[in-house]
Amino acid sequence: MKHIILLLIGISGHVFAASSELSEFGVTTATLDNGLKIIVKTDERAPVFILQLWYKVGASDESRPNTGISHMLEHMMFKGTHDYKVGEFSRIIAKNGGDDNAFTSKDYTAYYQKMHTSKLELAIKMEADRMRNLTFSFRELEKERKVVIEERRLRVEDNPNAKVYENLRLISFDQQGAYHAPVIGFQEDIERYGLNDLRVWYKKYYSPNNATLVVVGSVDPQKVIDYAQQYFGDYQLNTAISNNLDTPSIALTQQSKVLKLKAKLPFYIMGFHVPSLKTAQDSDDAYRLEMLTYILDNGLSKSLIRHRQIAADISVSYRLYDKYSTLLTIGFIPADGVENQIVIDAIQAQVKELVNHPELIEAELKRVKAQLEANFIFEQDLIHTQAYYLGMLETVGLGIDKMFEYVYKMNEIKAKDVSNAAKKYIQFNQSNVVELMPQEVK
Amino acid sequence: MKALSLFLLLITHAEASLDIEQWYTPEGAKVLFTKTKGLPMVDIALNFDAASSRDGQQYGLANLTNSLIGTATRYRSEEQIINQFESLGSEFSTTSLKDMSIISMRSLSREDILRQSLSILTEVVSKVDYQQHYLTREKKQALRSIEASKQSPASIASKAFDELVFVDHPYAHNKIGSEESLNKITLKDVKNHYHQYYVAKNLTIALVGDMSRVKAQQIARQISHGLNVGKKAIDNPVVAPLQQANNQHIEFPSKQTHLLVGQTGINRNHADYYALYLGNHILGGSGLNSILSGQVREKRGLAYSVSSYFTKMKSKGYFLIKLQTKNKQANQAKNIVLATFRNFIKKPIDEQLLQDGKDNIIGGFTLETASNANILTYLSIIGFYDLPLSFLNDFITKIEKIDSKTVQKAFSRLIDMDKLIVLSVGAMK
Repeated sequence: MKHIILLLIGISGHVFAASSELSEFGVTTATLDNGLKIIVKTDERAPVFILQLWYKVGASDESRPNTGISHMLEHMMFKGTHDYKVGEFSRIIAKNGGDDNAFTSKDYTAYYQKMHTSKLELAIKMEADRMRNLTFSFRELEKERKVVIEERRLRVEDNPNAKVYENLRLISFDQQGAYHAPVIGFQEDIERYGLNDLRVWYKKYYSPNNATLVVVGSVDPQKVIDYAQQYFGDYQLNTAISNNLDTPSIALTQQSKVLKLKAKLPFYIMGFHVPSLKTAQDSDDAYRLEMLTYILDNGLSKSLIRHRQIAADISVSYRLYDKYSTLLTIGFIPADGVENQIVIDAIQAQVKELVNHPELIEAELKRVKAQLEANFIFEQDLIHTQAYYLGMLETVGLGIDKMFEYVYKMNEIKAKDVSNAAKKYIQFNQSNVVELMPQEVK
Repeated sequence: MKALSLFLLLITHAEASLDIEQWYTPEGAKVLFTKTKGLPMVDIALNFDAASSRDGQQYGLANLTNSLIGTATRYRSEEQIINQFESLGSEFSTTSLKDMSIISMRSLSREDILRQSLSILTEVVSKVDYQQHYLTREKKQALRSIEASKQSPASIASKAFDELVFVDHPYAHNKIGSEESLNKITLKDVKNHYHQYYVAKNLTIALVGDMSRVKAQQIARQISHGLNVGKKAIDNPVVAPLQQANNQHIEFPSKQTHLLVGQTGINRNHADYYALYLGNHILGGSGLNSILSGQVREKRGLAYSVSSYFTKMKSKGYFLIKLQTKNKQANQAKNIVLATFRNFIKKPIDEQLLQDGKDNIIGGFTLETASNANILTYLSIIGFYDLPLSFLNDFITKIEKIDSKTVQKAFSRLIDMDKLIVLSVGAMK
């Protein structure tokens, strides 16, 4: 605790309060009458800002035959409005020295512009314009559909390991709930949806009360709020969305799949159903899982890659901030000539040891905490990382306080907590497994 | 309108100016330092001219030598080194390219943390203890990553393009090496490589962060002090221009064909550097707004990504246009790229496009140095490639002066359309 106080003084010049006064981190928040949330974090290091507009919609809101529609809409957002013709958005932003793009994920769709401070009004004005005035052109959709299918080929079809991850979600989550389908969508669906489907999606989700405007950089927070009021203020809220349907993920267990793909290296992944911070009954459980992920990732790299040399790569991952219950995954590439089972046995043995002997990780735990504390500072170096955490936490419904509680929460964790989390959640007989069996490339 | 853009130019210019200090350590290492405020952290990058272009016939040697730094020192084992960095919360990493072998560290600037981080970094770099069992392990890892690259059409294409454009130059081979070359590398080779190239005179240190010049000087001094003075590596020969056109296809069972079109390029001292930079930005270096993206993606939906760039390496890099498209469309895409490129070289760019490109570069220039991480990269480049310290501060002025005729002439001087490499990797059969 003492450690954190020192570090945080370093950034903000204020003492960290448990209830975290956000203004002490340079954060200002506001909400317009129509429900648009505004979050501004000042960072005066350079005369630049990033604006991100986050919408609470993503792949977890989709189902067949509309998988990937949030992502397709993201592409169409660059295809013109009543005032700006096709391609003008990016051209104007670029002409003004800006860098713009967008990203879609399971739980959100977000758009951003990085620009010189003097361009704040322009960015807000243009982002506000396309919340409402998108023109849906049939011709543009047909071209963009081809582009998205090429994107899918590039990211997934020709990437064996990405296919493994896609299949892990397919077998781990029921198709009636979230997280089953890939964010980019199934190809049949990408080929299917028409202009009207996209219009419906846009009307339903792109409204001020379903969005969060985040600005990080050298800006005056009051100006951000004033411009937001000026350009978004007249938009009506969508009352239908306030009772936004929740579509939690539905866990399937003990599933497995073997993928025979043209590839050179085997790849094996196990998924364990776990709560996220949002869904955990005891929120501390989620932080324990996060710590468990670090401890296992470090520990397995040490023993399986560096010492025993039975794996060429191993990675443990967990998404603390997912909106719905999620997966903790352990994936590995075995070393040349080593059977998967040898590696699996070693992983199981190591988890068992962690469960039975929490004291063995005391030193590692301390090191991870030191890394996380330092990393909290390091992450402030990039304004887009800061904006990302603020926007994402607000969008999934956790609230931005979580950004500043993280280090404190992680610091509270004891070795016994980590071991309990392993015991509770890492059940190998319940896990889902995808195995990539390489078939000769030529 | 004109007055307005001039005004903007002036403010942007003033604000983009980066204060860089440069000096040499007593042992002869070049140091570049920029003080930043606002975050209690420090970034250090040690850039040795020791990368794969120094492999000789031992492909993979430089990469192994660099990746083994951090495995053991005379006083500490690998686990002790890792644990020490972790306990301090400091990030240590190694990367090896074709020109530069880089060792970097990020640490909090708090006195006790920084002192200890620096101490372990210095030990790791200057008291390295190369051991056979780590070499054996890293070779195995290298072989695994060679296998991994064989299942990626993008990696296959990039490796093949290097070989076609650099022919017998030390840039031509894959930095990881091959199974054959790795098998022949001994511990002694690694030690020799280290002794020859990891010396003060062959090192550029980049320092960025919340610390005084005095502190920066101490840091540079401490790192450099542990190293031998040595000699600066002699420049490799300049990459020779291609003698003939080269059309190659590599059959691979992917859904997309990766298409690469290019030629020998430039280094940062090239007389037409700024004209080529600006021209490339407009042709294929500015995302969706570029000419190539307009033709290939926006107009026809043929690819998700199409781009062009120069790799501006010390002995000249290459110029490359690349895209990926479904196999059936590969020919169509190739024809469009070639026609677009030919037209770009033949006729000066439209004035509006030229101005848009300039406005983008100039108006966005502050973004280039808005983080410590970005500044660190620029310091490394400026120092390693012997650019003037005013490189960034002069950039805008240089770009502003260029007209479309100059861009066109620069490209037509550099690119011989009759000697292009056209490479495809995908399933044609």
